[in-house]
Amino acid sequence: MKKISCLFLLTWTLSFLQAQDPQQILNAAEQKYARVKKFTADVNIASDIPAMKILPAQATISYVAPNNLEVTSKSIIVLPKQGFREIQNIISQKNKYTAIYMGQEIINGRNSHLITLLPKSDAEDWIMAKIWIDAAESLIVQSQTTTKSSGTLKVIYLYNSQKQWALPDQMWIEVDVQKFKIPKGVATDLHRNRETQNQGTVGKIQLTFTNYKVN
Amino acid sequence: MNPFKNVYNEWVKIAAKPRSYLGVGAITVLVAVIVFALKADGLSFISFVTASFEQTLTFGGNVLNGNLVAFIVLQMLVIHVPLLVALITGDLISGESAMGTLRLLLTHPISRHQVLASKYMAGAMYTAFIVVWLGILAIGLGRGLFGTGDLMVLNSDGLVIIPESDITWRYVGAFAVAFLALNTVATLSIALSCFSDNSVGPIVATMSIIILFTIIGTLDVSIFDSIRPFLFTTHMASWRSFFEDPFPMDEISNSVWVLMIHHVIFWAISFFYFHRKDITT
Amino acid sequence: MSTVVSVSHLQKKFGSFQALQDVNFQVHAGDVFGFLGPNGAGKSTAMRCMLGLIHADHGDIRLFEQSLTTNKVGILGRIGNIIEKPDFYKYLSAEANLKIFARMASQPITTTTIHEILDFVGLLDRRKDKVKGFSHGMRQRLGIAQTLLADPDLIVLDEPTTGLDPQGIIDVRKLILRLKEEKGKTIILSSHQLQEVEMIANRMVIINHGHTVIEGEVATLLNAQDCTVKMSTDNNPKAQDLLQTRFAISSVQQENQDIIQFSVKKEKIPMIIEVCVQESIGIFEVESKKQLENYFIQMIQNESI
Repeated sequence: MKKISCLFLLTWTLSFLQAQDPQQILNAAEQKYARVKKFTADVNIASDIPAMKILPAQATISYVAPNNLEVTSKSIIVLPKQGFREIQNIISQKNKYTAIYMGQEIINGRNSHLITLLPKSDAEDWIMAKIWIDAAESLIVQSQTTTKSSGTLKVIYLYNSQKQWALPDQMWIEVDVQKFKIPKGVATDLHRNRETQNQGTVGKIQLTFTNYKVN
Repeated sequence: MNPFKNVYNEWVKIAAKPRSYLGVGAITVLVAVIVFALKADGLSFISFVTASFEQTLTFGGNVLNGNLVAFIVLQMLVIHVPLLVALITGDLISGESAMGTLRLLLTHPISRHQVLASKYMAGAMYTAFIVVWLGILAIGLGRGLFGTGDLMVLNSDGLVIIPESDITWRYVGAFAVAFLALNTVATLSIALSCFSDNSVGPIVATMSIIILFTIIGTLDVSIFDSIRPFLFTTHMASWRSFFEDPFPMDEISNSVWVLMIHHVIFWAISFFYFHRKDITT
Repeated sequence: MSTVVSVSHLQKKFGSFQALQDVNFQVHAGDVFGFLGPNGAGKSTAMRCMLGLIHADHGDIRLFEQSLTTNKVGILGRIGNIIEKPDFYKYLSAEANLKIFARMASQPITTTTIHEILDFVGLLDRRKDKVKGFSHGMRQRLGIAQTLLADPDLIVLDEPTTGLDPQGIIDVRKLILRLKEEKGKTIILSSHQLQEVEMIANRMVIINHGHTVIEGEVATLLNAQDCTVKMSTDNNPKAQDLLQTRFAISSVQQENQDIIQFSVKKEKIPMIIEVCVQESIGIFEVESKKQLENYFIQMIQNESI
């Protein structure tokens, strides 16, 4: 009930500002990246997660449309649980959300449309998604997804060499992290009395893509 | 008198005892059981370890690899292997006393100090053999069945993921320190063996001391804070420090010093007492 | 003649129990020295002090004219010993056991020598067998083999014939005599088989309650005592009566139907025979024996009084 009220209020308030059709903007962006049927690339994954020490690792990413994304690595890598094509998956399910145009913002020097997506059903894990799409090139430049199970996932997309395929050269991901606790029963270093340092609650993962092979 | 011949004699005696192979066999079985369990359901174990992170993150790559398996196996060092070492070294003097061979040994042209020194050397050799065997099994079997990869270690302040290329020297160092810790147990048991005329007493006494000191070390009571850093059991797990980042050189050096000092203390007690002991058995 | 072992005023206390009060004896080169005493007399303790197993509280122990405390390792290289029962590493073979002790010797001992010694004690064909399967007699023989391994100058044997069959006992006796006569070894022998000691020992000490009761030449000590005489006659009752009345010998006993037994000074035996003949008592056989056993019991009883 509460959710319906919010939706109504938002829709009524913004109806005056609805200069753009949000679905059209989303479709334009989707069209651009949907041209990629498959790709492979090398990816360097650098993670900065509270209570975790991990060096940058090399991996190989391969994608086959529509949803088959695989990351393989000899090293241990840390990725967000939702993966990093979550927003594209949400966008593709057009009948499952309501898109609301929120205006324009400058993101990384690009004039971008901000579109908020709200799920139509409570059964969805995601509660809200915000997408910033480059107004000129219809590229997703930033996304923020809030889920019930995993908190908020924020992704910044930087494009260069594969802009024509809507494939980023870099992705900067921020993900909510729980406060670290030692699981009971695991033999750890019982003799240490180190003070636990103040831990943040946001983990950062930077993906750098190279050697794209598209289609 | 060639001291190496004395050590060789002691090694012949250790190798001839069926009990000596109990430790080797137990380690082999233990490692096999752990490796089998991890092969069957290792991913659940990893989930258990990474539980704090798995709500929002996922781990990729070869997480359950031979290096991690070896690390899990080595965790046994803290609890089980000291007993297997004490089983042999605690018997080196008292066993001969019980058997009656001690009087025969000490009426040969060899000083008591030489006898004791050769037994310490043989005990150290056995301990080293146990550690090396554990290492061969853990790393060899682990890497053979699970492949290699980065090592994920859970410490009290979080997860450390060590690149594969950075692991070998850490294992070498860890085994060296583990040997030092276990040899402290061996030295203690040999010292206790000097005071006894039966086989079982020194072994039980050694394990009792380890258990007592471990409890003191883990009880979060301020009255024990001052003695905790000086207990050898506090430093028996210092081999794990090799898998921390940044590498805690000071902590490891401190542990090595404490363990070495315990060696010297136990040696001194045993040499002093054994030299004066009346052999009545 | 040099003194191989010199023990003077040896004392040792275990807790409140005074095991040794004042033990003194000397062993000369070439002696077969009987070391005697009842159970609990302190023999084992004294032997262990002599070999450095037990630290005496007071007293002086000198072996090969050197102090045990200052040159123990050098001295022990010249001694072979069995103290109490011979114990070995039961999970090793006979040969492996001897090799362990051979490696501890002051000079190298070859496998050939080990085999020769094993052959000498009759264990060569059992050399590969584990000692835990050996009988007591076999372990005793292995113990003797171990004693001889380094060709020692002094051999200390504590009950060496225990558990041996009669042939084994004879073999050990012959061995000891051979070691003394052919090789000039000095042997200290402790045994409860006093007739064996009497046969082979030339000197002895008796200790009781931790101190020396008597020490000296066996022959000299026993000569001063009565002989035990066994006599077989054609009229034993008359002979018995004669001994009691004419010679005041009260210890006459009928050992069996044919033999009477009595104790008397050795020099009186010819006179007894002469009187029996004069009294028309036919004598078939006379045997006289100085018995260490009797002497031993007498010394211990006197000492207790």
